[in-house]
Amino acid sequence: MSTLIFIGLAASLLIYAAARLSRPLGALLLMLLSGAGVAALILSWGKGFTETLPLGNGLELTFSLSTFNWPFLLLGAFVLFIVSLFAVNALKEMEQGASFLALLTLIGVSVLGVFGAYDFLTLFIFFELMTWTSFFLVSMGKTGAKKAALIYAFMSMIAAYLMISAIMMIAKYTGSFSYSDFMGMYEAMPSGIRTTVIIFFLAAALIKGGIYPVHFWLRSAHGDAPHVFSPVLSGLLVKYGYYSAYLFLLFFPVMVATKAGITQVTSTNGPNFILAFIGGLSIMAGTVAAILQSDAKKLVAFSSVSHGGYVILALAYGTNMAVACGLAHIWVHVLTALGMFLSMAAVAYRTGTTDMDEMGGLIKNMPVTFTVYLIAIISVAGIPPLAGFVSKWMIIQALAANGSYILAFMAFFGSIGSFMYVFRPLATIFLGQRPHKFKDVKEVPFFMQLSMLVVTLLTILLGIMPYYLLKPFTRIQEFIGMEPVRIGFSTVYSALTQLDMMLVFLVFGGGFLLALFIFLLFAKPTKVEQHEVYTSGEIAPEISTTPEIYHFSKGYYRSFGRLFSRWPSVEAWYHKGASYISQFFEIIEQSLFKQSINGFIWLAVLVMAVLMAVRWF
Amino acid sequence: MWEKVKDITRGHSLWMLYYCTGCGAIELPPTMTSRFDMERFGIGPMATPRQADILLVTGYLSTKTLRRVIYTYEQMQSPKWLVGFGSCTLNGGIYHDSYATINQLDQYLPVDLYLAGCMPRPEVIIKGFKQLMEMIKTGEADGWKQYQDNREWYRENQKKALGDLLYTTR
Amino acid sequence: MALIGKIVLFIVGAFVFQVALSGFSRKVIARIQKRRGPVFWQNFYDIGKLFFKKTSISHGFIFDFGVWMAFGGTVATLLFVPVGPYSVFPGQTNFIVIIYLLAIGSLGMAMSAVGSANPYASMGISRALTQMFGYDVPFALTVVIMIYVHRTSQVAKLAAVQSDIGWHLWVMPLSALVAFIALMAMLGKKPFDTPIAPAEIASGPLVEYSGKYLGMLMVQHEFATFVEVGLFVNLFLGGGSTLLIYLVKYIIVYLLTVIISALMARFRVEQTVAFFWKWPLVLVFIQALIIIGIGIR
Repeated sequence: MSTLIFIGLAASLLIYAAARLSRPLGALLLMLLSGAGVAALILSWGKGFTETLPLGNGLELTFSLSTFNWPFLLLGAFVLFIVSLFAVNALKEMEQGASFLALLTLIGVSVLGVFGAYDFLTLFIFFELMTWTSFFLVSMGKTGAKKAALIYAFMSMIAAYLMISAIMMIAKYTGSFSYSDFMGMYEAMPSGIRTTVIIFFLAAALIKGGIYPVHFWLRSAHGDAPHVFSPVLSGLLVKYGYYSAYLFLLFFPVMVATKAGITQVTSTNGPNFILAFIGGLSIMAGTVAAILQSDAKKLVAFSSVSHGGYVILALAYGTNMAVACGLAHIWVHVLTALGMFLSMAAVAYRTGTTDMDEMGGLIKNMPVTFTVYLIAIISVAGIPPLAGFVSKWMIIQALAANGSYILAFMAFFGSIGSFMYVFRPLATIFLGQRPHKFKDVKEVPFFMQLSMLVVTLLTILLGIMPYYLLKPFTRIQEFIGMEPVRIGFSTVYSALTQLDMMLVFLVFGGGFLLALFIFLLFAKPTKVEQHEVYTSGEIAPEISTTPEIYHFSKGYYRSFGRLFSRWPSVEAWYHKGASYISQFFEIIEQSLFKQSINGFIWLAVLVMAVLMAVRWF
Repeated sequence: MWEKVKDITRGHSLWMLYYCTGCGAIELPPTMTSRFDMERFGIGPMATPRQADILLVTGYLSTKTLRRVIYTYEQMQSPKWLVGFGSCTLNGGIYHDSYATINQLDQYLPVDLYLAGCMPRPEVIIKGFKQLMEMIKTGEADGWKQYQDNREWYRENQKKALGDLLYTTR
Repeated sequence: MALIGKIVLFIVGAFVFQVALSGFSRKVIARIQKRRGPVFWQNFYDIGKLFFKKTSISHGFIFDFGVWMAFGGTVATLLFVPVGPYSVFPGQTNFIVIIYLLAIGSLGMAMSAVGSANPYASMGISRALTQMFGYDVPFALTVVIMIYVHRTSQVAKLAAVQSDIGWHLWVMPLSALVAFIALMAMLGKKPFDTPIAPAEIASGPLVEYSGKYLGMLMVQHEFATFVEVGLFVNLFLGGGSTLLIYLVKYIIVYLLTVIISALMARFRVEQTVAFFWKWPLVLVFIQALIIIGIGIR
């Protein structure tokens, strides 16, 4: 693994050089690299190894590939593969395309290190690598991108400080950074320290995962980042948050518990229920905020907040069905986030905007992008027979089997509300009347279509045959000693019932064919132009305007928004808090930091005095 | 024989575009509501021309309204029928000498049935619709076919009344 | 082969029964309004006339495709609902599948309606989705309570278990009330018919449909009604040990919704959502508290 990391570091320079020559070449190199990673990981299914890399001074980095992090490593390689395939054409107009690709390679390296780490030092070092590479990547976007990057870096910094404090506490108590030592001393740690460590790591996970009270960086980071970067941000970097939640909620406690002989882990104890409740709040807040958005990428960003809530809720809930579902949902969310973000990036590539109020009727120009987006939203909404339905079904069964009606209410809230917000880009961007300025928009180039279609195909296949989706996670459950959920080839089982996905698919197909048959039985329809709609007897050219005024997109859910017009927003509180703090510090600033020679001399004298005091006392 | 079944089906289910062209529209609510109940014959109001079978031109037609009526008639789907309601559609009625209205609807759109009167009472409307239903069931009412066959003649008349700038849909 | 025969019988039987019943309901509404009303086979004439139209308008591929998806999804849902003691796929009548397959029907119609590029259709769809958000959450929650109590999410089993403990209508009265109101919203009956709203937005999503498209959507609506009222009968009234009893219960529930809707005016869409999230949601939570929290059966 360490060789891979060195290869990756070298490759980033190579890719930078290649991309300076020609962008597609650099992207193709990255694609080959990550494709090789995907293939290598699939081939090493079931195998595992651990290796250490000494750093000198007694420190060493430990990497490991094993059942518990195989799905996450595969996820990282897969996302990079798809995005680099997409980037073969998509980086044409970006100014710093070469550095973009080089930094993307470095993100790949950091993902290897974060998910493949077997001790906390490695985890933290590569987490920091991930943070600052993505900081640069976010800032390469539109005009608001610098500010978005700053907010992102600030929140990541808070997460990093929380993590490093927890890591130092662990190191002080157990004497080393390794996971296995931590697990060995887990029971023996004083519960105060253990609780603090867990809470710090979970808080960092919530921040990095974009969960409700600390989610606001995700909106601006997506809204202003380069379009090609958003799939990586939402499909990969946010998954670090879920991964560390998985480690501290599931992997460490359960592994320790089962070694001690406890076999059944459910969460009716207090703290986990609080965390599940926070996840539920995130689902609800993300859904409502997404409905009220009018920028396509910010809408998908809030959808990520909502899905993060699902993952945290499922992982915190703790029953074996819920845990399997939470882990599977990570993969399902990756597929849908890739589908939605890539199609939005494709639209932005051709039209130059993601503002939904300006577009319309693009389905005639971009049918492939439309299909990709349609399959992605059918999966998000949880409609059978796609992959999203499998995870929705499992979480509802898990919650209903234990009678948690409040959490079930939150899960349904998110699921049904997702209908509203996923439908809006479909209706406002792809359907409806097409504005005149987009008349000649063409479909995106071949590689971009190919990458999107791979994602679509996987969404469909994993839905019909959920075996492949769930098997890695049942193996994780066996590995850590939890009882795995039962899975069949195309059947999903729960404590209450079972469901055959292939049957659902076939019945739906049969119904569709019946509809087609009845349709073709009767008179042939006549096709009309787009502007020939019922307009109460008026014809658009006669009232001196163009048909595009008939496109209904602005304020699509304004009536719904009226319900929430006076609700508090977490962001407003943060702004208020920030302005209070800056007001407080203005006093200090005015007295000590005046921009003048006197101020500087004053400051220099103060610093010298402090230094001398420290040196001599 | 299959055509006979189709005609009977069409006759028993007539959806009317409730298009209030002129003052004759006031007689339609009494016909549809409890006293004279048009729904028992299968006739019901519909909101848009795409869904409707019958276009009811209820009264005088200024040139402004005629333009919209022509667009609406062309947005309806065949087979469709047009009922001229009131004397104004027949021969101009009390507005026969106005500069702004047309006198004979038949010149511009094919009319299947006229209901004379100023304005005709609901009993007349119901009797007229029953006669229209008979005509449909026997296949006599084919104004829409005549419109398609003699399109050019109708176009000429329409342009004479409305000017050359006439957009058409179907 | 027997399976194909069963499927055909199911679909044709549901079609004939529901269309005749909705025609009959027109007579009931007419009698409430002190008129005579059409014959009860009027809806067959309407559907036949629509299919026999010689021309119809298509607004492009997605317009057609959405109609096929809507019709196909609803027919697929139909095959998963148990009717009396019979079901086409025994053991596969999962409630969550039914709810989400119904959503395919709505999604297909929504896609096709918006694909017609008429602003009225878009407005109608935005209202329909907002309203769906309102009523679906309390309704799903009522069924979650039932799933927990009886440890199964098969609709057929939930129907059968009521012969032991009594109808859920008496055992969980608050849930039944909420589910009935949600049923009226699902069927699109007044006061929850904002999506269609003939006089406001020119029949909303249906504005551009003509000829066979409108015929297929009418049939799809009838099938969806069959599924939704059937769900209510199975979940709260104990299904039916024989087909006749099931049909009688179905007719009573359907006519009750028709009679109530004939007397009411229309709500605005945000009033609908606010209503569903206020009292019905509170009632469901109280019911859940009683049944799950305290354990009274």
